[in-house]
This record gives sequence, C-alpha cells and structure tokens, in this order.
Amino acid sequence: MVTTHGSQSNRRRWLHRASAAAIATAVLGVGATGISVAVVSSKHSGSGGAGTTASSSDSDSSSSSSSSGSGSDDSSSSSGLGSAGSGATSQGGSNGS
Amino acid sequence: MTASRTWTAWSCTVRLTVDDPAVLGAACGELKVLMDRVDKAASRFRPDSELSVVNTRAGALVPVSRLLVDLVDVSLVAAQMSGGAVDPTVGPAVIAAGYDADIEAVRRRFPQPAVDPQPVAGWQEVRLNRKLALLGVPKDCALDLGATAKAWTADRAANVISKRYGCAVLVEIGGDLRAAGAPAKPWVVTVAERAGDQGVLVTLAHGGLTTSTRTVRRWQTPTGYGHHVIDPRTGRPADGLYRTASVWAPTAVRANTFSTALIATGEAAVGRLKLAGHPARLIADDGQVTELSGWPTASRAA
Repeated sequence: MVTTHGSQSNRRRWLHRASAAAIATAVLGVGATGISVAVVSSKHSGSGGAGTTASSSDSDSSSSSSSSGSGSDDSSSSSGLGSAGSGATSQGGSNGS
Repeated sequence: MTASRTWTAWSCTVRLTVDDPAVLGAACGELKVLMDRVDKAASRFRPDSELSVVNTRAGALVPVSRLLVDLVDVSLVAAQMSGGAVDPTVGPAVIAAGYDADIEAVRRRFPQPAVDPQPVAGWQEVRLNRKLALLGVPKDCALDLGATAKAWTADRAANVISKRYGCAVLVEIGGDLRAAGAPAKPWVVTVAERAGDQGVLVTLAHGGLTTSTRTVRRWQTPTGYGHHVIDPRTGRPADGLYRTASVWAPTAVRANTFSTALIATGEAAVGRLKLAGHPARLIADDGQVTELSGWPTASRAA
C-alpha cells in the first residue's frame, strides 16, 4: 500500500490538534473543579453549616419536614411591634377568631 | 398612600392593605386564588377536599398535593414547637365538641349536647412522606388544620404579594395578621378580643400578629357555650386561665402557634412563650390583662 506524503502530514496535524484539545479539556476540567470546590467551601464556611430542615416526626423514618412554610423568612427576630399614638388611625385588626 | 379591601371568607373577615393602590386589585386576586386553593386542599367541611379524603381513609397512606404536604408539615412543626399544645389530630375532639360543620350552621341549629370527649391521637402518629407526597392518619383519627392554615395563608400571601409587586402589604385573615415588605411607616393595627370591641392600638412594622380566643367561634349547647379550641391533654374544649391571647412573632404561623397554645393549655404554654421572648398580651377569664416580653404601651382604640 502506498501512502502519500500529504496524507501523512494531515494525519500528523490531526493528531497534534486532538492531543492539544485533550490537554486543554483536562486543564479546563481541573480548573473548573477547583473553582467549584473553592466556592462550595467558602459557602459552607460562611453559612456556619446550619441546616434548616427539622424532622417533625421522629417515629417515622420516611417522613421529613421542613419549616419552609412557617419560618422561611424569620430573618428579623426583633419585635415588629411598637406603640401607636392615641390619634392614630387603625389600618388593620387582629381580632380574636 | 395605602389602599385596602375587605371581604368575608372562611367565616371570618379578610382584609388586604397595600401601600401601592395600583396593585390592590391584582393583589386581592392573588390572595383569593391562594385561599381557594387552601380551601380545596385543607377544608374540614368540604367532602371533596384532600383533607376530607385523608380523614375518610384513616389508616391508609393517601397521595396528596404539595400544598397539603406544606400545610400538614407546618401543623406538625407547630405541634412540635408548642410541645403538643397545638395538635392537628384534634379533629375527632372538635367534632365531639359540636363543631362538625361551618360555624354559621353550627350556630343556627338547635343546641346539641356535646358527646363524650374523644382522645387525641397525637401529632406524632401522623405519617407524612414529603418526598412522595403521601399522608396518612391512624384509624379513628382526623386532622384539623384550622389552627395553622389561616396563618400559613397569611404568611404566604403577604410574602408573595410583597415580592411580586414590590410593595408593603398587610394581610389579615380572621385575626391572623402578617406584614411583609417595607412600609414607609409601620402599620397601625387594633388588637381586640372580638371585631367591633374596643381594643388597643399598636404599630406593626413586620412579622405576624395573631389573636386567639375562645370567646368568638363558639355556639350554644344545652349546658352553656361550646368553643373550638381543644386542650389535647383532655380532648375537651379548653378551660384554662386565659380566654384571649395576642402574640407577635416573625411569622403569623409562629405567632398563632403561641397564641393558640396559650388558650389550649393556659399557664402550661407561658414558659415556652417567655423562652421565645415574643411580645404577648393575655386576657384572663376574669378580664385581667397581662403583657409580656416587651408588649408595647398601647393606646386605646377609638
């Protein structure tokens, strides 16, 4: 079988490009993984690692419960109540029901 | 400038107030849609509600919607937080007390004698699989989410409306108030035992403010009045020290958990309230008022 000089050159060029692409992929992959790990690590250290999930039933291992409905925005624990002047006009009412 | 709309639903007064009048109509629509969804999921008085199906099929795990999962989940968190004083498994006890239909229907009919108190199964017996959205209660048990569903709806609606329309909002559903957003000035609200009573004025900048009482949702019985707040320890309508309790907390669900617990179990709930440090105003059976944990000096409402 006769192989022409031109096809050998093409094959060599293709191998060069393939190996360069593989190296680039590996480098980018390692870099991205490192960045991801760094981001996740910094997030964990910032949040204190406190989870918000609380089981509502210890006796049922299949059940899980989160307080999303009741405490999703408990960001402010300071009292939201204050004194109102005697001349103030009421805009709402908390009446017994 | 604020705008407000009031209507009646769930046998109680609903009021929505926003600080941007342009969004009032759309915001009211949001609240009504949410209340309709909650009603279809969790009403004890609708035979076609998901909750009624779960109660009818007691003893089996029943597939339910994510909404009902959330509502039951919150009721279980409330039970845990209150040490069992606010228990969603009081359904049979509430029915035994006479509250087996819409409150207006119960009030209209001839006084019925209360049947023997029903033991409360206990919230720990509820089976809730959040991932698979399956819910089950033990045989002879029934869930009643009346204590937490209104407050949850007020919380959810206030948060959604505030974020969607970028306004400050005050949602009121039958005594359960929730403020969200950042109003230019804190809302001025009246706290009273009953609508129309002379109450006290306070300001509410954020969070939930709820009032629970055994003096409103009540009905005539041959031996006096019945009411709907059950003491899980006895299975009977509560007869503790306090007849009315108003509590502030970061959310309406949390505030309602404490205010209901105070009515259901009386002094037994005061320790948890003090530990939490939430401001509260309690009215004893004899009318004596006790203010705790920084309840503000209030003015009498006009």
